[in-house]
Amino acid sequence: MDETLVEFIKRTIMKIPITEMMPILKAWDFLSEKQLQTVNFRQRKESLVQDLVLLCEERRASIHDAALLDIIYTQFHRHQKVWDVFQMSKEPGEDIDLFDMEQFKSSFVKILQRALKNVTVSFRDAEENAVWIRIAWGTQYRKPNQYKPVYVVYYSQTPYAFTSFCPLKSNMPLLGQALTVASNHHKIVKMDLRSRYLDSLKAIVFKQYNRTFETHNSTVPLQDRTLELDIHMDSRIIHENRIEKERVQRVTQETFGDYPQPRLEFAQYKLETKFKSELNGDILAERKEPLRCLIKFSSPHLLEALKALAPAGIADAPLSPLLTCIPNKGMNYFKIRDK
Amino acid sequence: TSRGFCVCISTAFEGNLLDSYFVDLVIQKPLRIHHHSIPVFIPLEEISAKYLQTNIQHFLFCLCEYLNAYAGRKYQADRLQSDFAAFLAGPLRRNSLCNLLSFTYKVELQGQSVPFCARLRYKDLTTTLPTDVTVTYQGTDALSPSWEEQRASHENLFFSKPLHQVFTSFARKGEKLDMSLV
Repeated sequence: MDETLVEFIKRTIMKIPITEMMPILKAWDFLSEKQLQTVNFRQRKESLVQDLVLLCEERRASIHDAALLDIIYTQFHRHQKVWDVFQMSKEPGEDIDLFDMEQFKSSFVKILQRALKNVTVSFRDAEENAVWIRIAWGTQYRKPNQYKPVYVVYYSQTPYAFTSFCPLKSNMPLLGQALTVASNHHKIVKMDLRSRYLDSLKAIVFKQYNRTFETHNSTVPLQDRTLELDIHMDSRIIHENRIEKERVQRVTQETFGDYPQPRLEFAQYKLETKFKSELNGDILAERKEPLRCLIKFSSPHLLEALKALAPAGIADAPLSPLLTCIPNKGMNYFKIRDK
Repeated sequence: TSRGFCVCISTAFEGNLLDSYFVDLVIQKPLRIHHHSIPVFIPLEEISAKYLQTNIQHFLFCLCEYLNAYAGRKYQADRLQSDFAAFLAGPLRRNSLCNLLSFTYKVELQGQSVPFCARLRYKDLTTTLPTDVTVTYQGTDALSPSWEEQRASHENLFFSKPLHQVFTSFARKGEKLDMSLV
């Protein structure tokens, strides 16, 4: 087997934590049960990896087998990548989309290979009629770099595609074209939405994050939900600012709902606006050019943090619509200019 | 609701109750959808653009049609995969809307196991029966006239009856199930 391929398989297996070794190898379904039984999974990791690589060599693993293993590893560790979202559109009045997965795959590969001979494309079908695509880019003279692949996740008959951050930006237009044409769309546009949490991105663009609906027997009157503290506290203790606290709770609930928020790690605002000041003679306000600044909110769970701001007393309710529109608009980086 | 009203659309096929979907509407000018649980591949934007502002009854009716048809197609595909797996010689190829189904199946004819490939296209998203059906013979031997007759009759069956019912009739006709997979 090719030395570079062996090295690639070795490094891919090395990345897998010992606890995930069995499930990932089983999902890969490349090494046989018999082969796996001959391996001692309790030995030192380096020796274990050596044994597994030898078994792969025995079975003559190809680059596609290795790429598949890489896809499975990435599926298990999707948070390690940063995902962008692209939105595709069709011309109005087009025929019904009879999406054929096999046709999509062959069309996708053809478009890439026509433009770039040296490219490795691999597919793995996923649930909900989706597909994970792995693309390793080469150049006209160089073989594909297997260590810097791009991943694309596409759900059939939807206008959205999720791509992992690609360091080789020059290939993105080609990737966009391949996706668009293969999926029977006309245009593709990058959304201003980015996160490590692929499942949250999906929940946001597919509008699956708000699953609470009021049916005739599920509405709970607001009074029952206010200030649960009351039940446990002594009746002699009076709650200060009770009315205000209830108002804040109500506004927060109306804005954010009762459901768990999709997970994002940041919201970024690029401002190009004139400085507005109430003070007279403020130097900043006298500037003719707009002020340029970048404001970034970061959090392990941004939307839950924003939801907690008003009840915690850190911000006034209602919060600025620039913050609360994030899941609704499907954006987490904004450019704001004066109108 | 406090802002408007929430509609629950239940789907069913052949008397089986399937999934329910919700649309929460805000009564404002213009009328708008606050949130919903309609799958992303159902053309909700198109239907809203056409009917939401002008005729809400028609909007709901249209949406109901699309959802019920989708649920019906999905039901047939799921039934084929779970109840008639023995007939299939390979995976059932499908998509999100279940409007293109492609599969290879084997039927017993005159003591022989004959492979056919069926491709069902549902161009009308409001129906649960296909608009286009192609059945092709997959075997290496020459296609005898009686087998060609069968092939043509299968095409007609797929056009006129729900998928799982067609296979139920195959199961009844055949003396034994063909358990071999290609």
